[in-house]
Amino acid sequence: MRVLPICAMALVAVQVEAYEVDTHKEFVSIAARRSTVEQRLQEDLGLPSGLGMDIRGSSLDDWLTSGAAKEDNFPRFLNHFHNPLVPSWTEAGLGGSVGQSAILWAQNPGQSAPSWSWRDVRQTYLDALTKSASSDRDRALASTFEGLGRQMHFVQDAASPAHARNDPHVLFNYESAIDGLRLRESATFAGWLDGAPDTPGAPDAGWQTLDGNPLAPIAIARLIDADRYTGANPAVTTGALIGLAEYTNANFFSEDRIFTENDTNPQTRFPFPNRNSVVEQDVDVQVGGATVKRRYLVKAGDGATGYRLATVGFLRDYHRRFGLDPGRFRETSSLDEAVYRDYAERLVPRAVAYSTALLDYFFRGRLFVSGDDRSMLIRNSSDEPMNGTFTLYYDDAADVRRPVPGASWTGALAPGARLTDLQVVAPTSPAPKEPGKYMLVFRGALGAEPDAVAGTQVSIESALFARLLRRKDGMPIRSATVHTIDRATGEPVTIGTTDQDGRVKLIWRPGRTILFIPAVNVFPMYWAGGASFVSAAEGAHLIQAGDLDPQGQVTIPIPIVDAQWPEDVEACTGQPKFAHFPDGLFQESTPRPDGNFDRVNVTYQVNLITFIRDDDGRETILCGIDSGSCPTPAAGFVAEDVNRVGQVVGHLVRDLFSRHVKQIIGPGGSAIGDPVCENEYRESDVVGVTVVEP
Amino acid sequence: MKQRMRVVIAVIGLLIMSGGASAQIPEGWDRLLGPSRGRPYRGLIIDSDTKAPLAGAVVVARWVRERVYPFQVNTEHYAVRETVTDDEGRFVMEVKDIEESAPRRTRKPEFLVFLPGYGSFPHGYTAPKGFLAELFEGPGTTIELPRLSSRKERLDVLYGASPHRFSETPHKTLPKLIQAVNSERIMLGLSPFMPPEKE
Repeated sequence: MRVLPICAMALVAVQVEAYEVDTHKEFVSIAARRSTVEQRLQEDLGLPSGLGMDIRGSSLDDWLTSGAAKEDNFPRFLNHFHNPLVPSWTEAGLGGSVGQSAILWAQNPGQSAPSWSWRDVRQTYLDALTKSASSDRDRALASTFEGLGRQMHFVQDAASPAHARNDPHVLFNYESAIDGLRLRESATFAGWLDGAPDTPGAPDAGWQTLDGNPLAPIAIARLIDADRYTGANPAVTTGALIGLAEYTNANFFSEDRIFTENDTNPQTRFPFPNRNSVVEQDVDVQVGGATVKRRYLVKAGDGATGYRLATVGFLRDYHRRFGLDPGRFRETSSLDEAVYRDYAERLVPRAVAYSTALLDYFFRGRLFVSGDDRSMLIRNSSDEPMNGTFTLYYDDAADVRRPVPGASWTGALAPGARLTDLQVVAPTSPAPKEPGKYMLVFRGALGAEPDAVAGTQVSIESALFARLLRRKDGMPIRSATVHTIDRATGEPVTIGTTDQDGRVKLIWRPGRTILFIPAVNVFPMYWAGGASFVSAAEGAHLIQAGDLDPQGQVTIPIPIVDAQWPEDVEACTGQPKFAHFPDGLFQESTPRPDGNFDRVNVTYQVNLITFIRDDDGRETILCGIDSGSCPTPAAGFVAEDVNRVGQVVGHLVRDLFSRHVKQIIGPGGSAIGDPVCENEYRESDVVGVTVVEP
Repeated sequence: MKQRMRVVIAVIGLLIMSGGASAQIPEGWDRLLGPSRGRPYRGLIIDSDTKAPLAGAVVVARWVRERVYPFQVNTEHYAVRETVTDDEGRFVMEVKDIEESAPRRTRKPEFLVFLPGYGSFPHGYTAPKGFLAELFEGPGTTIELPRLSSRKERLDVLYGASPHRFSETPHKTLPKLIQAVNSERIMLGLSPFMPPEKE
């Protein structure tokens, strides 16, 4: 036991630095802005502020950067190493086993409490989409971003040579140099960060499809180690589909792992870069304001080339002058700030690009929904197959998120494939905060990831079928226009026209919608339930789910009404004494037994016809002497009149003229004798008008 | 017990592995507070186009200290202070109380200058260049901030100026920065940062 404090004291002098906390924050923040996450937040989750969204006093961007910073807390940083050359990832951590490999750590759900493994972050994201209380969802979303910041940290550390070469190094080093450059040469540092996402160095498309390693099966492992660099093939590290730790390991030195190709310890033996990978070259450098030549070892082969890998050893000239045996006298190269700058030029853009890829990978699940609740489809808009459960949620007025009863489907969808003919019963109890607004959440396998999560806010309108039938005989009413109207806002929801079967599909909002039928009768009507109608929206029936039959249809029998009023028959001609024709002429010839014909001519004229309703005295002038035609008195009806079939609802006040003539004519068309009758009538009368279903 | 011994052995192994090739800190790269600690920081903030002084810019200084752990040196928050430029665009930040009582391995402060609608320091300023942690020492320096036109530019600056990057309790410790950032957030259509229930 005594050895422990001694050990701890000794260790105080030894330090392993990841990229410094502020460097990580810069990397993470720029990666987030370069990734698709802002778009996903705004378009998929309906969060208009995106990364700027305030949760518990911090933006999502802050949560992301603070996660990246906190991941370096003691003792978590012991698990941020990955040596890609050991046979098993179980031995790839710091010192082999002092810490876990960063890859395993990233996917280890038993990290600590709380754990920030990929699986844990997936769970917090699921919580962010599905937790009942709004505050819990917000908290979970903040945790999701904190966890993603931590996950990005692991990837970024793979772009630090010490972390890829198992090097617990001492004091001033690459990472502290980079943070120093952040402050000393901020424009240069910003230039490294601002490289476009498609600059060389970004992971190649398809990296996530590489075969998984059972020790860490989630594909993010491949961002760090693709298991392609074996220690004998450094050229592969500048080719396609290479892990970041492999690239870093094969092409850069860390402070205490310089030319260690001949080390006997397999944990510290790194075949590349080696002395055959470099050429010597003089480079002008600034020292104390003066320009001097410094000799460097420039990387010239075995993978990446064209940068300063290390300085030549300070005793190099001495070695050469005296012809010392290089096998006996070690010539020690070192890494200076110019070397670090060349490293950073290649490693920083990769750290940003690879962590951007991780963020995009997290949000790669995409869903598309179209249709309505009677017939909805879900399409897998991702590039990978989905196999799991799709569940619909809604928020009630108190922002409590609830699963929509019966709206959960399980299925396997290839990219672009759909689940079709899905039906949803729009929730009414409690009522939704925004009718038609839902959150669709997927949980299941997405490609090779077993418990992936995807979510998208969707609008699913409720649909019904209205079937209009003529009440009298049950015949379908065709080509009739029908509106659904949101009674709360007065705005039309949808308009449709009945088909041959009298059916029309309409969008509605349960508990808020009324039906408007403008032209089945000659007056506009709102449906009031059953076969009754009203003329004002206030009295209309709010359609409820209970109004629909199992097929989602509401059947509406409609009395098609007209006006009826008594009309005397003229005794001689047998025709109506008066008719509503402003300038009407009736002519008819009927054969007589003697071979001649009875020809009747009737002329009708209207001076004025007015319909006066009995209930409110409203007058409708139907026609006058100059009118082209004379509409039926039903033009003065209102929707309520269809509820009064058989009742007198008003009176016609008329000033009319007619002339009735009956004449016998021969087969040749000439008149025979005097007219049988020739009568003229001019009357002002008042006639009751009854509602009828003709 | 066996497991603990294994860790100890592994740690000793690491110590041996770590060798002695410790890189020297280059001259002038030391970031710890030096003998001039406690002296005020000064600066002049101007518009990079018109050269007019910018009044009301919030200047924040943040000190971190290095915490040495086995295998790791971490930085952790030590102190933060804010002030605002006067009508002539100048600021003087007194820091004697903070720096003279600072623990060992406290670094020189990093600064933020933020004014809504402008590029910030150190994200998006135009001049001068140099070691950002030392610019404001002694007679101080003049910082030129460009006026920003696009929403994206302003959002980028806003993210870099987030008060939470400088303090875990910004509503308490950085009220002026919170006020300025919230004003910019509102201008950009974002909701202002509200104080969490417990800060």
